[in-house]
Amino acid sequence: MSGENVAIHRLLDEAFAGIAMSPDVQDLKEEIRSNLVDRVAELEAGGTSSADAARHAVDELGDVGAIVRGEFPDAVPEASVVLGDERAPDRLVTGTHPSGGPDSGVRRSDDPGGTHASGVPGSGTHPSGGFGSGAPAGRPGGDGHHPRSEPASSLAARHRVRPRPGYVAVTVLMSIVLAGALVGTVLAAIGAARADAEGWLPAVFAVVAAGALGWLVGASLAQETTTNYPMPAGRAALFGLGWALVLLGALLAIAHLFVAAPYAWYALDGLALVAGVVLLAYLAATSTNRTKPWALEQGRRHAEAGSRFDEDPATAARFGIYTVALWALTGGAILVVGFTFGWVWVPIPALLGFAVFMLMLARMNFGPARK
Amino acid sequence: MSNTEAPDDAFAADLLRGHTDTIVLGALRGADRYGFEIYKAIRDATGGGYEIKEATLYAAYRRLVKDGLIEAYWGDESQGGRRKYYRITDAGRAVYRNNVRAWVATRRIIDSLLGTEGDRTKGNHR
Repeated sequence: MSGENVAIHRLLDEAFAGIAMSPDVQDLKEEIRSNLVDRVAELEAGGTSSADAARHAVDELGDVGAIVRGEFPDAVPEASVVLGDERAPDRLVTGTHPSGGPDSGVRRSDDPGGTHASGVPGSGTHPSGGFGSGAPAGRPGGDGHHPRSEPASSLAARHRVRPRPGYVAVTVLMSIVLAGALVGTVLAAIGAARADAEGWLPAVFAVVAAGALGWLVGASLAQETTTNYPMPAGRAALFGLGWALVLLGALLAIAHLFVAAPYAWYALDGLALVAGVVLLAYLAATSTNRTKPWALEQGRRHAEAGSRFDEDPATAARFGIYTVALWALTGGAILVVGFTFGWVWVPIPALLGFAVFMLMLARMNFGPARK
Repeated sequence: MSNTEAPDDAFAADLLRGHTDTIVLGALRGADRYGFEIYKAIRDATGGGYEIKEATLYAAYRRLVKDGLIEAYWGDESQGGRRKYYRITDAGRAVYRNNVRAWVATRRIIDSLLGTEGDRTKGNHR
């Protein structure tokens, strides 16, 4: 087993020779390595000798320089690394490709030279996602196709998704139901405590409230918005169920508090509450990205525009110390004002402290650059 | 597919490559997979006739990760090299569904334009 591994690693190192290593490139190399190991194992299982298998797998991989250049344009000098000598003519095509993307993406597998695919021009810049433009959010996966200078407002306008009228109407209705059921639960519980109302009435209101909240949460998550894709229906329903359980447990506990119910009932309420929390925690831990590509890109741009604190730790540290000092002073001022002029006047030093804090933040993080 | 007996290779390859991102998303729908698994799944699905080259796939992974449609993480294999796994995100599922919907609609249109409606005897699942 170790013999062909050595061959793979040697060939891989050769392929990456001359490529400037960065953590990202190293990451890609390790990914390629693990995939190569699997491919070689498969070839060997098919009866290929270990040295041939390693050579064949690396040949199949094609031009590593093209892969790396496609992903990290700065890492590779223009004269790219050539793996298989017989495929050298392809290098010229790939090397001068303006996008630098990995070319010749698909080939007949019975065509080892990849000559067919290399006849396809411009394949590095094909619209990714193919027919994906059917998505209301525009073509997914399109990177760098729109100019970076496009302002956020026009981006948002182009990707705008209007809420569905039916959803809005039902949401308003459900919100009213929820509010009514919340009030109803408390009133019914008070009534039940005075024996004016039936004992089961609060529970009915609580169930209605929980159902309304669950619907609101689930339906909202399943909506597509300007910045988010809809959550899959099953997952959204589970989120709704989780919140419904939490509200149900809490409301029932409150109702039981009013009627001074036996402790066994609280255990049931707690069970519903805990089940809801557990479900929500599970869902939160397994959640994945829902943000649309354009919004992600937007966020990256904002991060780039940047915070001076990220670039200048000394300023950040100074800001931290000033903050502590400011709030210590504000706290002292609050106490002094409270004890001397009366606690009614306390919001004034608190507000002043907050204003100074915001000014400080604006000056130190976003102020004009220091020489 | 075996029913593509002698097509224009470049044309067919281009058509297939145009859907690389959607194909990768589809391969990740059921479970998290690492590069070679995805590659193999695609190769098996094409009956070995065509394959999407690794270079194209690496570029697709990178693009999909950047767009938040898939997430990458390193596996914790105790022996051998660690593998980089990909997981489809909710955004990726939504994009996949949209793309499939668009593809089905487009296929219908093209079939009707080319007069090939009756020809779809196989491969029309999904």
